[in-house]
Amino acid sequence: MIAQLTEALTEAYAISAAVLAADGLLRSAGIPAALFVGRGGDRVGAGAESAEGISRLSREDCLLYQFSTGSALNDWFAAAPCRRGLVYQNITPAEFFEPYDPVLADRLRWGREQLAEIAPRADFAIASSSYSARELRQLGCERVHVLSVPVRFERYGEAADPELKKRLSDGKKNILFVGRQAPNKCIEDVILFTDYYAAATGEPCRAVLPGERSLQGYVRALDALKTDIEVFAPGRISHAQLIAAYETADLFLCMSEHEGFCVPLTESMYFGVPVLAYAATAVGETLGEGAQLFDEKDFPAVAERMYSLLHDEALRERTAAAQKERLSAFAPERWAEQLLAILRSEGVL
Amino acid sequence: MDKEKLSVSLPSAARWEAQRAQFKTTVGTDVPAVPYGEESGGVKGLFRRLVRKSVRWYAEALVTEQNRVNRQLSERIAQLEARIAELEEEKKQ
Repeated sequence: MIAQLTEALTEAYAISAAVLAADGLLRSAGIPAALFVGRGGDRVGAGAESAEGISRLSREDCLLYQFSTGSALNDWFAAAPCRRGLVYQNITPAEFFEPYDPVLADRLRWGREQLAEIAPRADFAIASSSYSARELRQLGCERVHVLSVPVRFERYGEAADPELKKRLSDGKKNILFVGRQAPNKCIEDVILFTDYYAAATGEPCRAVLPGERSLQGYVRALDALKTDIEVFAPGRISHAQLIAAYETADLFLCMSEHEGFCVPLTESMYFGVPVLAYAATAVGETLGEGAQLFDEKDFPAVAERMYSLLHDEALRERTAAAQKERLSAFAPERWAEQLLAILRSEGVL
Repeated sequence: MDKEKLSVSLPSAARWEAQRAQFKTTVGTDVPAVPYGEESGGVKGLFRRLVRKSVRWYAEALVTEQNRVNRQLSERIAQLEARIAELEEEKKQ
């Protein structure tokens, strides 16, 4: 049996999406599978069991553990009696959260300490990027594979929310970033650079920023920024509203300083929205060849790049073509083949 | 303005640089002593904010200490479980 262990299952999160996708793949391939969840209540009873159940695994089984943050589950995984596969999408450095949530920062630091202990003890690992794979190898994990996060393309063909689409189609340039409003994603830079761009060009602009707004200190600081542009930050939105945001976006601006993969980049590629991104951590890797990247957060230089991508049709077309080419690497069938190949190479299948 | 390139006379970014610098150096406000949730306005919201501010200094210390204890306990449990697994294996043999 191949069992998966995760801290929690929340559909909006990339880690949970990866767990559910893998579970679905294994079951559809006729491979005995099980799902264990750390936090009681999240999907427990809906096909997932409480994490205590991993005690019944035997040496013939394999446990794939979705590492996320500091947790007692990390120690349980290390002590599991079966073959152990560590699945790693990276862990945000604690210093990003220190000013806003010292408790979470402490948990992230704990997670880093635990990762250093369990990585060398895992029988193999699956990292979502070469960036993350390097970290695991440096920590002493010998067998590390790279497999992107699964992307559910089939849902992107659904209808967009008509009300939001109408609202965002008023002629303003929509500069989009999708993601939880967290310090590592530097939402403040998306807002400020869009505001500077609007001031430089005289073009009416809007920063469109759907994403969870639960880190109250950080969100308050964002809301206190003084800008002349409209900032549309609705919090978590429905899938139909998300599609509307992508369909009306003129540019996806990523200023994030830490990403293990960044699913919204692939979503932008799917919707043909040109991406301009700060080249940090795994961002460049996810975007691939032909990516529009910059190394320095310089207002005039970034504004120039934004203007080119918004007005140079030839550049937009070349960028969209490069992004579409890159997207093929994340096709669900390819992801499924790669996962099964990894499990076979590790003797699990 | 050129069709594909901005004019060379871009405005000074000083105002935006200053906001950015100030944002990065501003320490976050409250660490809630209650779970995150929608803040209410009025007397209830004011009371919550006052409680948070007044308990923040020792709530953080308590949580950090509890995390340390949790870590040690989970390590010990993992060691005990590994030992149990060893003993069960020996018993089978």
